Amino acid sequence: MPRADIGAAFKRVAIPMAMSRLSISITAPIVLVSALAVGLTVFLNVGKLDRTLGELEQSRLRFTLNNLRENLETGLDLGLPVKGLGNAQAAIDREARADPGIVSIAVLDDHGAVAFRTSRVADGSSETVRLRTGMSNNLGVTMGAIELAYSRRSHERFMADISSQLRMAALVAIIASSALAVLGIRLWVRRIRRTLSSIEHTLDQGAPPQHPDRRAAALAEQVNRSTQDALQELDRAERAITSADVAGTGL
Amino acid sequence: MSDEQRLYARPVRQLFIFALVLLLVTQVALSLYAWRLAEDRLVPELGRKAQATARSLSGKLDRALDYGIPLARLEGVPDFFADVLKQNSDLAYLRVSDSRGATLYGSVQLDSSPDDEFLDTAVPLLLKGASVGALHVGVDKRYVAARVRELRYDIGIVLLTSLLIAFEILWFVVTLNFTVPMRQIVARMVRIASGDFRQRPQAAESASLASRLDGITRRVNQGFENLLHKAAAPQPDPQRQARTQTTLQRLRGIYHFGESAADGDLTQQRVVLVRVLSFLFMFAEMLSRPFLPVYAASLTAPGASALPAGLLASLPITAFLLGVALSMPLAGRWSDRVGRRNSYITGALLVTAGLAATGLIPVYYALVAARAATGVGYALMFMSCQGYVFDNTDNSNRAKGMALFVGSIMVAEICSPAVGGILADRIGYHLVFIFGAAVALIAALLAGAVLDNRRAPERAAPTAPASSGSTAMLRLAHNRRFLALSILSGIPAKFLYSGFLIFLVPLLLTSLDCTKSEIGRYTMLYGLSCLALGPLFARLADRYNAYAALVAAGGLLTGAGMLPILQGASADLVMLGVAALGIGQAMSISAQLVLVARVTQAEAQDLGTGPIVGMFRLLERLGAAAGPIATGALVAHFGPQQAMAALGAFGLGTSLLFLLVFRNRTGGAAVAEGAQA
Repeated sequence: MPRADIGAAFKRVAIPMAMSRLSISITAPIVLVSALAVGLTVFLNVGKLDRTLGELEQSRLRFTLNNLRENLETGLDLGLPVKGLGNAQAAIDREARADPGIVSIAVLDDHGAVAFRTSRVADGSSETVRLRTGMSNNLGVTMGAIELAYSRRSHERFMADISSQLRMAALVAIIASSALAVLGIRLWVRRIRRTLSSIEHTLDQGAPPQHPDRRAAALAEQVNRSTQDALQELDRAERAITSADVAGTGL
Repeated sequence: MSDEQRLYARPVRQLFIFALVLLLVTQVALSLYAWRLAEDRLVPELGRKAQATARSLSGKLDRALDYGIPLARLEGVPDFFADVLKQNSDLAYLRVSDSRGATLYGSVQLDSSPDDEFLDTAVPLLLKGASVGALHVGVDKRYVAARVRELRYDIGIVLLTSLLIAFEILWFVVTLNFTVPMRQIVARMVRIASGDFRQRPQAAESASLASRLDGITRRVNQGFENLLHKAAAPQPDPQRQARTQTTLQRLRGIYHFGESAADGDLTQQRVVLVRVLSFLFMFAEMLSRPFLPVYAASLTAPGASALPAGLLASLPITAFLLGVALSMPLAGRWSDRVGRRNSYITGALLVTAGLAATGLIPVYYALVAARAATGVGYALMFMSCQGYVFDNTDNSNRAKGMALFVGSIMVAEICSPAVGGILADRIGYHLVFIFGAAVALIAALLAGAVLDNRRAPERAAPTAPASSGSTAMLRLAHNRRFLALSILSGIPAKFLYSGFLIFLVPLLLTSLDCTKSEIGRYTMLYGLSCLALGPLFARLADRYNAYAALVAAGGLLTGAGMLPILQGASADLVMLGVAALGIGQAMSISAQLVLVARVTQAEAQDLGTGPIVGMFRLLERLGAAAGPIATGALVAHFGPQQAMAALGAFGLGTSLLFLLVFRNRTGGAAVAEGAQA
């Protein structure tokens, strides 16, 4: 026999006390699987949101960077060196002012030395992302680069905020689905109990329960009838065997 | 379904519907909420892009206006806008309007679209400080929605997987705790109602309903015992004695009294234990399917630098499949000897160790060794589960038991690669292996709790003298039809399964920039095809006696499905190949076994069917082991795209040969009859 003794399971159906165990053993896996699935759904959604937000930020910063590059390359096309771009400082300051998330913008010459830089300077912490684009003149010669550092703090704040909202929603979903599972399984077990109770009452030939299961009661009724018939037959046979009816008419 | 069966079948059906709807509604509601939240929160982020764009473009337009060009006569604005839109797919439109709001320039395909679908950012165009018009930059709110909803496939897979897992667990719990006992009660009542009052040993005396039924049968049996006792008393009158005997006979004709053997229902239902256990070990093992060859290729192999990357990627898979093929015959015998629980737990622990080592030791040779050990563990678990089904079934219900076992494997084949792919994209390969190890460990613990450790029952001795394995091999080696079936159908089918599905698909799709989630999704198509179509083709084969035809058609379909890749590699064509493989195998798997039985009827009389099927399975598994390494060599020489086409050509070729052999053998009659063998 398996360890999960089926004989014991047999008892479980019949003993009302065991009904709660049946409820628990059915409700628990439903709640567990539901919680796992909800957790995985939140996990997937948060990951996707993180990536989408990152892509939106990158797209915006790339646009800013390309705009700056086009602006500065106009000067380079005229033959000016990077350090001679008179509008560079104003242009990078204007862009940095327009987006508070920008930590710094630097214009580098072809040796990588800083030619212009905004007054705010990136501290090199891990919370900044850096984007870089090369600058070339109309002859295709690389003249330098622009480097933009962007703070990830707002990104992380955004994600922390939305993650906590999703976690809260997940919690509510788990609680609601668990409550529904408990309620649903209780009703289900009650229905099973009604079936069993209908059988028991009919077998005991007692008063039927409030809402009897007619199909179950009909089966129990057949059991009673068959039993009565058998007992009567046995009784008749016994009387006939033990009586003085020599002719055997009672048989 | 009879009224009596409805007493337990209907509540079970209602419970399953309730549980599955609950899971479905919870996850759909949460996903919809998450997507709504994402749209609400991300659209303003997209608006910042629109502001940056508007600021930049308006600056340029302002400069043009400063040169004295009227706004309505600016040259090249539409082309410039088109260029900007082309480079920024997240922008929906750019438009310039005059001071009265009339559109002067712009991408205007959206005029017919409702305004609330767009987020419009307008900035004034200034000439000497005065507004002469406005630049409108629009972003499509649906862009964010579409990006976020790219997740729907992943969420769909989470949903499908959770439903299948919930179904498996519920089946397990409900069968043991409700269906079996309830079935027993109902069956007993039906028997009593029909006059069968025999006592059943399983009845639990203390259970209220069971004890009532026991009471009834005891009372009736007691009555009959009393009657027998009185009838046994010496009776001087022979006529009277004869009449007593007639009475007893008549009662015995109407009713059944006394004791009865154990209830068959119980034995049968034990098989459900094995369903959840086989699901767990398959799930643990298949999690890495979407990325294993890619992971193997990423590891450096000191001393093996001469080997091409394709071959290196295939070795760990071959090690696993070889481990399975070679250990399975021994695993079966060992499981018979030490008991199902011990062998399952040993296998599960081996798989746990193998997967944990794979996850923790990123060394190529360790991966190969760990995969071989995992293969041995897999074989042990597989044979323990299969043996358990055999132990607890007889000829009348073995097919049903095996269907339960195979069904759980197919469910794992659907869920596991998809979940593994999603997880690999997010938590990385190593943690997926560790997760698989944890699932295998849970399987070991569960087996320890629910399986008994009976050894295999002594089976009836074969009617013919027992033959050794080598005798079986020799006899089968002379059976040309068996050889043709094995070499032209059995081995190629498994060769293509492992070479294409397990090895090449992840490699090819990775080279096509598919994510691991996508690879998992494509791979699950195989399991879905088999699960959905397998029973249908089995019925068709039985109805039309078309076993050989289905085997040939399955092989031809598999091969043909892999050839279109020659037109150019694409994920859709790989998916076509996977679907063709799934449908092809659904056609041929069950028909192959029938053909094996038919072409070896003579040998089966002497050897029994077991060794013959065992030999066929061994050949198949050796074919499976050869698949990845041969495909790896093809990849190394020709590249993955050509390798897929070559596999297709191989499948087509062997299937055509199979068709020829079986057609010729039946004198040109319909291929349907490998049957005539």
